[in-house]
Amino acid sequence: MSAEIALIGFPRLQEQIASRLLSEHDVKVQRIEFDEAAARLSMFNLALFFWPDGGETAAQRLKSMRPNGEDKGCPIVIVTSNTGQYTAQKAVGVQAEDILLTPLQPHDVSQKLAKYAGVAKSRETAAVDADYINPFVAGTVDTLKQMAGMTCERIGLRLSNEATSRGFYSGTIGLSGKAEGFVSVTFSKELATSVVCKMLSMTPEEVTEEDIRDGVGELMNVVAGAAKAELVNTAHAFQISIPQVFSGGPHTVAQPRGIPVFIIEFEADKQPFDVMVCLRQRQ
Amino acid sequence: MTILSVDDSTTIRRIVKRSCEELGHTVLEAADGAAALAIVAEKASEISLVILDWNMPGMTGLEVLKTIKSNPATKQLVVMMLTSEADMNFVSDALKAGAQNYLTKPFDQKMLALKIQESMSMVGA
Repeated sequence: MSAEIALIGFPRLQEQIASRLLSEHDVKVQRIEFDEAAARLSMFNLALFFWPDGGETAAQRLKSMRPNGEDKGCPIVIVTSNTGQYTAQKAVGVQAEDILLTPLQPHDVSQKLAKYAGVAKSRETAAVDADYINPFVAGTVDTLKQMAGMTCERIGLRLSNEATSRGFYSGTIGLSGKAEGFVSVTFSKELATSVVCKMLSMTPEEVTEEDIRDGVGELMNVVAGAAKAELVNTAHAFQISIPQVFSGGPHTVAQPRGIPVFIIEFEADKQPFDVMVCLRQRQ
Repeated sequence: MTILSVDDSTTIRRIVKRSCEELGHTVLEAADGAAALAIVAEKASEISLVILDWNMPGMTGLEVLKTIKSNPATKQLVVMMLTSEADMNFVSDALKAGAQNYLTKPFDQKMLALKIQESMSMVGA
């Protein structure tokens, strides 16, 4: 799902520049008027608020949108010039989170989108922030090796704005703590059966649907636990919940608003499977 | 000897059961903390070792462990935690609460068998 970005109070030219830069990301941009901003702010993942050089009217309007700095649901980033930033600075930390200076630079826009709306521009951008992915990769490889005697290999990593599993069985665990989100493993029917048979030293004829569901859930539990131990003293530390298992084909996992999902692509026994990681630091 | 395996995952209980039986032990099973404590209350004299998961619906493994160790009738039971919680703080909490052994998931069959044997050697010690 694309992140929703509001543009508030932008002059026409600045709006065109901002829209063009934002269009390089997977976002939906909508211009909203001052008088409707307070009522509609909660519908957006991020609001860019244009602050002209003088800024007195802008300051009053921003206060009317967020009296006493409340409603922190949608972050607001002020867009202003070098001159305007001196007056705008007073609103930072009260009604707004940050400032973007004009002329808008692509890198600065990408940085604010990533920081406040969890939107990554590209695979390259994502790789910079993907340190917390490695423990999930290592945990998956180690878990399949030790519990099922299977060798698996990471064959790819991609970013998606939607957590849609492509397998038949998916085990999902909610993560909470300094960081929150979920991790999910998704297998084809054949691979899930094969993995669980190896874990239980049983034949495909002997295992039941319930055995496979339980095995997939437990695998996810073990992978999440292994990653958790690696991340315990980092900004991405989390607690794990009880796994939930879905079966029956592709389905979408609910994710925190505007946070992209890393999809780690693996192969085991020449069959693909994915681990999806959606994690963000709590504000 | 009799071992009580406590885990909400049937997969883990089966793996543990197989290992224990291969070592010549009898296995009782519980899928959550409440069921485990009911079995312990009834059969404490028969049970030598409790193999206990941490994250389960209802009571956590740590709560079950503390309950077992705070009861004079059951505190002699050897308890081995078998859990995906590999953080040293969890290990420390479990050992402080009286667990005698700790094995983190993922594990392979050999390591599980070794840990079961190690735990069984503590029975009566």
